[in-house]
Amino acid sequence: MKHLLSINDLSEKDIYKIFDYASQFEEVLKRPIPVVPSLRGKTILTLFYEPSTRTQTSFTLAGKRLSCDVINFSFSTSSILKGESLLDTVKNILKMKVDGIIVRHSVAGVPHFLAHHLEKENIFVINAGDGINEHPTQALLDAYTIYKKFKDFNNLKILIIGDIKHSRVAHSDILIFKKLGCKVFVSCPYSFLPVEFEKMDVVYLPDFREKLSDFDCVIALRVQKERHNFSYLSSIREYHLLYGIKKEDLNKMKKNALLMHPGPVNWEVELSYEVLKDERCVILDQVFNGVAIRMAIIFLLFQEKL
Amino acid sequence: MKIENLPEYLLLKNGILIDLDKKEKREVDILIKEGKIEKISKGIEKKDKFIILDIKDCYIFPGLIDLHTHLRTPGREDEETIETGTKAAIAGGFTKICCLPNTEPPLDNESLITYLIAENKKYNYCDLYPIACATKRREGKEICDYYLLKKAGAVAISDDGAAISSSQVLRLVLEYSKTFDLPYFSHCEDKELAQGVINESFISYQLGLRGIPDISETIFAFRDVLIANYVKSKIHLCHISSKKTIQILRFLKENNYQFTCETAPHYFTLTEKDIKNYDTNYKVNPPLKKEEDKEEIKKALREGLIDAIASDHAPHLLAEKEQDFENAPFGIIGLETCFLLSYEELVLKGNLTIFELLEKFITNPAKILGIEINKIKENNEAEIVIFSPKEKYIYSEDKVVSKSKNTPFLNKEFSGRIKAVINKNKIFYF
Ligand SMILES: [Zn+2]
Ligand SMILES: [Zn+2]
Repeated sequence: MKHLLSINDLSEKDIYKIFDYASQFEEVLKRPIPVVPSLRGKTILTLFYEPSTRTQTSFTLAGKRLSCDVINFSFSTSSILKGESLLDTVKNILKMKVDGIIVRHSVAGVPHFLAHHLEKENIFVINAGDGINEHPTQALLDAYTIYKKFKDFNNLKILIIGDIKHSRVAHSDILIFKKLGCKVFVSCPYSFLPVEFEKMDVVYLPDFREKLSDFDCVIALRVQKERHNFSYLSSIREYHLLYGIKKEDLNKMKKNALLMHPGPVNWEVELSYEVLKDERCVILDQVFNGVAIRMAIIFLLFQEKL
Repeated sequence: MKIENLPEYLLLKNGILIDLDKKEKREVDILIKEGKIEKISKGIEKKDKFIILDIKDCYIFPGLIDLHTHLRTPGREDEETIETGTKAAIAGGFTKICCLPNTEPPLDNESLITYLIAENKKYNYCDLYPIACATKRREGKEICDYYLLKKAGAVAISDDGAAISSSQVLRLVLEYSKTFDLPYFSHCEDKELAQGVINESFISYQLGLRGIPDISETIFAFRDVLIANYVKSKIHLCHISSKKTIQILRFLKENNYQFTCETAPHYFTLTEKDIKNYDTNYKVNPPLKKEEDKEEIKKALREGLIDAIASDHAPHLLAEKEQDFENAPFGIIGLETCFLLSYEELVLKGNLTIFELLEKFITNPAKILGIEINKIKENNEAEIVIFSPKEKYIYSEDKVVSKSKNTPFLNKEFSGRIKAVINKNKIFYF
């Protein structure tokens, strides 16, 4: 069984196949009874060691729309015994006879760890976010949202604003956009840039506002203070001033550009509340697309078509 | 591994003695009588009582000395004991090892040093030289009783695993230890800066693992040598891993600063690129670095800037290592592969001659510790390694002698093999 642990696991062809299935499942989602029997009798487990109602709900819905049984496990971070309990998890999964697991963990590599130990079993693992490493399904839904609008990635210019160093969304987004042929720009204070970022092959803009009219898509990242041991930010006020998208910024953006955010938004930090009303702001479309994309991924992994 | 008492007469036939003083190889026979070297010469004639060991093509040299072993005793005997650790040492060709004080409890009082030495005598496979804590509980605050520690048998002091962050405390440690001529072994790491699990680089970003900047080692190495030289105390830097550190050390050496330093084989055989699939057997501290660091370490070994090669043997249970990368402990076992890796990477690839390599394993470590080498000479006790440089050797799981098996070199085929070690009237075969 193949897993989805990283964007690196997917070829360009795989990505378009996922989009293709996602658009078919979108049709399903628009039906009065938005369910297909494709995966009746299958069971998947969502294992969230780090709370995220949104992502867990999105996966749960995606599974249920395919008639899959979905069992949710959430752990409050304090209650889990770290370390060796991961192998216990594997042993439990095997006894529970589930067919797939969707895992989120605050430590990078945990989905890889589970996949490695389930190698010989007929169980897939989907990475729903591992530490500061990756969040491939978010990247897929981001790319899909852009795809629906432009139908072609070549020469699209995409700007990502925020904590590039500690954001798993940025990491997966950069990988997927570059794989699909986009030009990727990032903007943030230097403390949010990874070392040796030159090797990422992205363009760094200390001040994105000068070039704002160039971009086809602007992605603002959530500022996640909880992932830092100490503050990389001087203050929220200064961050909003420098890197927050405000109404006047929208005036500089292309008429057909997209403004995206992986959610949940810290309003008046990454975005001013007013920008939500702008039709270029597609944050809620991203949420909808997320269910279709996750249905496609789960379906394709079960069919072994990835 | 087989351990036997030496026969009354043992005759080693046709070995190649590596003479460290004359820097020459000589084909010789060695007659050992009751554990003592009776005669070294060519063509010693066989007598009835002699047990013969034909060691054609094998090198013979004195037992190696390891400056950096974690024996985990007391406190973590589930990971390693004195018995298993000293056996692993012998399997790697070491007949003298230093054990570091980051145990539970740490070696910050003389009774623990006394205990370790007494416990080691029970098995008596190799000599054990404990290194005591520099500060109480390794907290970097209060200095220990160096006089009492030395009297009990400690040969050096160190807070390995934790660097003394206060420069003032370090000054005191170095001044007080000078009184008793105890060298200070420095673990160079600016903990404030080093909040990660692998080298900070593009690879740490790609893997999403928190990075440790290489300068965290360099900064403390520089500071520690400066302070030690200011108060004119002996300092030895442990497990040097980065190019920047070596550049700074080269500068210091050119300006007549006094210090010694060591590296470990994984720093000149592996790089951060080897950390695939979050394999925790590549999680070491200091972390594996880049190709250019690896090359610089080899260069510094050639130049003689790096004095010694140590194993940094750090046993951990499978249950601890077999978890996520962040939470798994740092460290790999190294006693059994230390010399083999060094021989392969340094001698076979033309970086060092066998004589220069043995300086890093015998002569220099002895100088750093201020101990005598038991040379292969008539009338000396036999303390001999028999190494076959031409044989291939696969280090498979069943061959591991250490109690723990956390090594990235499992199933590696080595060019060269330690055939046997003679020490303390015993012969160990592998
Ligand atoms: Zn250390
Ligand atoms: Zn150590």
